[in-house]
Amino acid sequence: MLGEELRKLISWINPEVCFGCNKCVSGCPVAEIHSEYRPNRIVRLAYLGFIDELIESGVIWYCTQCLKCSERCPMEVYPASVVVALRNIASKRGKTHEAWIKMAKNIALQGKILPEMGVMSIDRKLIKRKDLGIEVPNADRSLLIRILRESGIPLDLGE
Amino acid sequence: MLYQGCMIWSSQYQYEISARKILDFFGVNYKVFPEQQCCGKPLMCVNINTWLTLAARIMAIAEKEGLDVLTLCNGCYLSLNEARKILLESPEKKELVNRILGKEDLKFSGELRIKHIVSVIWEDIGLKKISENVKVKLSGLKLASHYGCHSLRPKEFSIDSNPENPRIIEEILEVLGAESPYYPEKNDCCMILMSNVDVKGADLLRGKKLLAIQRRGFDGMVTICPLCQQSYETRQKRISKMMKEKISVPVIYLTQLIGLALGMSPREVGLDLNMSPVERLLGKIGLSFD
Amino acid sequence: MSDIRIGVYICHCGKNIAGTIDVSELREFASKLPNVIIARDYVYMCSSAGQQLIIKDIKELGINRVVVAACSPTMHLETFRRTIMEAGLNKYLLEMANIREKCSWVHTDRREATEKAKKIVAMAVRKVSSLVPLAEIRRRIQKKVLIIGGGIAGIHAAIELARAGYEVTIVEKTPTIGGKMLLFDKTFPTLDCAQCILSPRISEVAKLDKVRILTNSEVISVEGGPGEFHVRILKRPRYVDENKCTACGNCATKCPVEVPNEWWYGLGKRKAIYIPAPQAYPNAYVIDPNACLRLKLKRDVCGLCMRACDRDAIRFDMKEEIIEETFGAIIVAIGGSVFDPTKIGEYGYGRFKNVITGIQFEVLLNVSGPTRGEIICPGTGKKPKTIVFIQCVGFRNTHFNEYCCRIGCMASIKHALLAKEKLGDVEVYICAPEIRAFGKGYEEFYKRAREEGIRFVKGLPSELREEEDGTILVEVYDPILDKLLNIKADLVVLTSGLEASDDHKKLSEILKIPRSPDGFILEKHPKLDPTATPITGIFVAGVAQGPKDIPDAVSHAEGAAARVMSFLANDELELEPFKAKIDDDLCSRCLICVRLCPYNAISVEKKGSEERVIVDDALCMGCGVCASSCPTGAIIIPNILPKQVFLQIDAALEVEI
Repeated sequence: MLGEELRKLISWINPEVCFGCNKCVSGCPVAEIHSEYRPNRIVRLAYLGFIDELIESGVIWYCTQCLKCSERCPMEVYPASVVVALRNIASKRGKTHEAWIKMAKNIALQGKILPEMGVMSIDRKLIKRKDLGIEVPNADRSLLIRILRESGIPLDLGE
Repeated sequence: MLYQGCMIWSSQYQYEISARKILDFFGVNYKVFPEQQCCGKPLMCVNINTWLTLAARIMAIAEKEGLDVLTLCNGCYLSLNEARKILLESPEKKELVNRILGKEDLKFSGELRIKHIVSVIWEDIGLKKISENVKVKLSGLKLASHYGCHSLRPKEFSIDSNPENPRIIEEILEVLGAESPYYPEKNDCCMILMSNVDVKGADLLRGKKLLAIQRRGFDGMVTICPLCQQSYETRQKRISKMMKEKISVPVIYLTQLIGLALGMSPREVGLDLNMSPVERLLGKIGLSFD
Repeated sequence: MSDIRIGVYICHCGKNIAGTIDVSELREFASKLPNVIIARDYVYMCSSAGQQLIIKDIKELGINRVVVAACSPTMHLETFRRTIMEAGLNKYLLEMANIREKCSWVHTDRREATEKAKKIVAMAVRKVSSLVPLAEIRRRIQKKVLIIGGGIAGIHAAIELARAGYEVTIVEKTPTIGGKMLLFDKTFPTLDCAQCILSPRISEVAKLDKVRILTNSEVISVEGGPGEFHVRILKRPRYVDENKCTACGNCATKCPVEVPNEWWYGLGKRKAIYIPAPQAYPNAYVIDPNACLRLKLKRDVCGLCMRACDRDAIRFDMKEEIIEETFGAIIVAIGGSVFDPTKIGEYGYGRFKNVITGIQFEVLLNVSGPTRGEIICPGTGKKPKTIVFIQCVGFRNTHFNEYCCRIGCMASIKHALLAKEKLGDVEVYICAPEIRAFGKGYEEFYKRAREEGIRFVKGLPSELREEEDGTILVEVYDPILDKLLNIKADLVVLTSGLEASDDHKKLSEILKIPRSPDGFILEKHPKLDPTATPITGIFVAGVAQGPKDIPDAVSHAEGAAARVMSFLANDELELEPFKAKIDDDLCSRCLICVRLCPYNAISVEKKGSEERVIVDDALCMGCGVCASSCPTGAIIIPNILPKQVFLQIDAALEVEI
């Protein structure tokens, strides 16, 4: 059935019932500034099987997951979820966007998507958590790598 | 369990400081777990099971001590709520996740609640108690509320029962003495996820909202999520260059405003760590950093 | 079993049956079954030629039980019953063997299908041997019709029935007949005046002697069955004597109470004493007991209206009346209710003053309405320079109503054209995924709209935003331009559609008629019987069955009237004899059947100290729930006996594969 691969990842999507009301495009902030980004177009290409083209084009990484499209779609297509499914498929094929690879590596390294950056206070001092007397994170690296590995993440975490 | 999420551990300290100050003031008990890790939401786009496991780990840690989870970040709020729902509806996914967590002697059962700090302020503390304790009225402040996206969508997890016209932040602000009228750009997203891929485009849309808030005469923008806060407070100079117009909007956490109204000093609520021109806002209510 | 002479008639049904089943082999097999005198096969058994074969055999060979092996009984059971009746045989001595829907249409293997057909025929032959002659049950009919709802459909049905000589009672909930059409200015696609069509009909139905109109009334209970429905109607007091009131309006001028006018869908106010519309019928004022101070407080206060009336028409002492009457047939013509888009938060209805519904736009256009026919933005009081219509609001939507509202596209095109006509210099957009212009003259109407410069955008906006000056910011994607349009609208109209109302649920429970999943009254058959309900004697007309425009509502109503006429045409009602029969000697008075009957057909009759459980044949639908639940086996349905089922099972198992 059309869209089966997508549905195996996310069961609640209904890509085939879209009747083209364009409501999702009307409210999409990405569509406002990127003329090639149309949520319903991504959905239709996906369920008709043009997954390679979608992944190649890189368009699936633009969605900011604001969820307006999914929330207001009259047919419960859930376009934002279709995008998530496509990103999973892309990752399985080794085509994860570099920003996400970086976040995954950071999580493996220290449990967070970014390292502690600190902040410049109004007194022009670089303040970190210990300066404020609040707890500093402690992450068990091997534990995190194990969790990522065993849950099936298709990435090279540089272990 | 006080769950901060990644951004607060990294740089958005003022949110945690002000939140903790308020919780302490009203006697809401919480526990911090330094061993917590990212809720996994970014990895939902790489491998769903990885996200589910990471989210379940947080919930399992809380469950072990019989605690609910209190989140400060919209992204974490949705991530945990959604993961919980999926795991409760899919026995296979729940089993997979528990197999991995079991090696740490952790188990996810889903019998806990995930609450956003705004809901805790509204339900557990309540407007009445807040209003009774207001020492510094924020009179004369006209503030633009920014809910972000994941505190309102999907509808089933929304912190306000009317997600298309939320009023929970406005009502809290009104009790503090400020006014918070509707403005057309209220619903605009901070574009944080898209900025991973196109920072310029994200800044353009952020600039659009900041400019509108500025032009409409607001004294500042109120946030309830560290991702939104960071999006709007840290890039104003860059955005000004891009929009060819000076953008100078104070961006402040709701928890910081509550702290000020309760009589705490700007430094006590971490306003010295905000990256936008908050002195202007403070000046309007007769406060300053000294 | 003495002298049972069975004739088996096997239909080829063209290739439908013969293409899969070996009909000759089947005929051979059938001819050898016990008590079968003759077996024939023919290409189209239901044709005149086919039927003649049966009739001839009955007359010449003395066939007295008939098996027709053909299609499903829902297709031609009645046809063949009439055939054998024509030949002089009791029409219930027939059994149909379904070898099409249950055999040839669902199997591809010829051998398998033929063997299965043999079993099916063997079972039918065994059953038909045990059938006994039955007679229809005859009941008196009251030649009186109750029409619930006095809108355009109810009015039309009433006129037709009255002309045919039937007594008609219209029960209308609001204080006037005419329905929603009372609000309309013009109708699509001709743009002719709605009141010029409606008013003559209203006055016609009002003048007919045979029509009694009860307004401010509601049906509260219905007992009995087809031919004899015992109905109780609650007539609420108007507090104004219809016969004396001249609708001069002096009372309303003096009345101190103002409330939102529900006839104007919130766009204006009315007094506690009011007339719904100038052409209302009865053409009299009415007092709203929830608004009137005197009635609400139940004290001798105010009464200004009484003093203003020089006809002494106002009577605060009027009470509610219960009217009890028996009707032969009922037509449900209750219309629908307008969808409230407050639930669609992203469009800001209820928050943004200049976002209104289609029905409110209609009210603006109405010359007797709050703006005297001027199109004015409610928020600013000024005429709009840009209007945006949004279609499909609340419809084609899994969160609200999945069905298409059917009238939205045409209604908005009408509104857009009237806006252009009234305002001249105005930009009008209609946002719709596509336009549905299915009726006569509708596509041409749509073209006219495009010719007059109305801009159609094939996309729906995601949300609406309000500027400080009250204008509405509409961002919508135009797929032909492949651009996001940003329209600054003075007025946004969320096109109105119709849903089933609370009355649908209430009435369906009172009348025990089913509703379809969308909440409207369920028709007996969507194509072949759209104006009847599954309950004999109860019919449905107009939007009550599903949303439709005026031409379709009128056609539907006339259809319902025609059905009622044929239903009540004879002096007696004929009911099928498959009604539950209780053997009094076996009945233990446990009353399980009384409680289980979905049609309330079984009741306890007390005669002195004697108690009997009896079945009302008019209500009984022969569903068999009682028969299967009776612990002593006291209840049977004639010709559908448990023993007959066992005979068929035996027949099926006897046939070797």
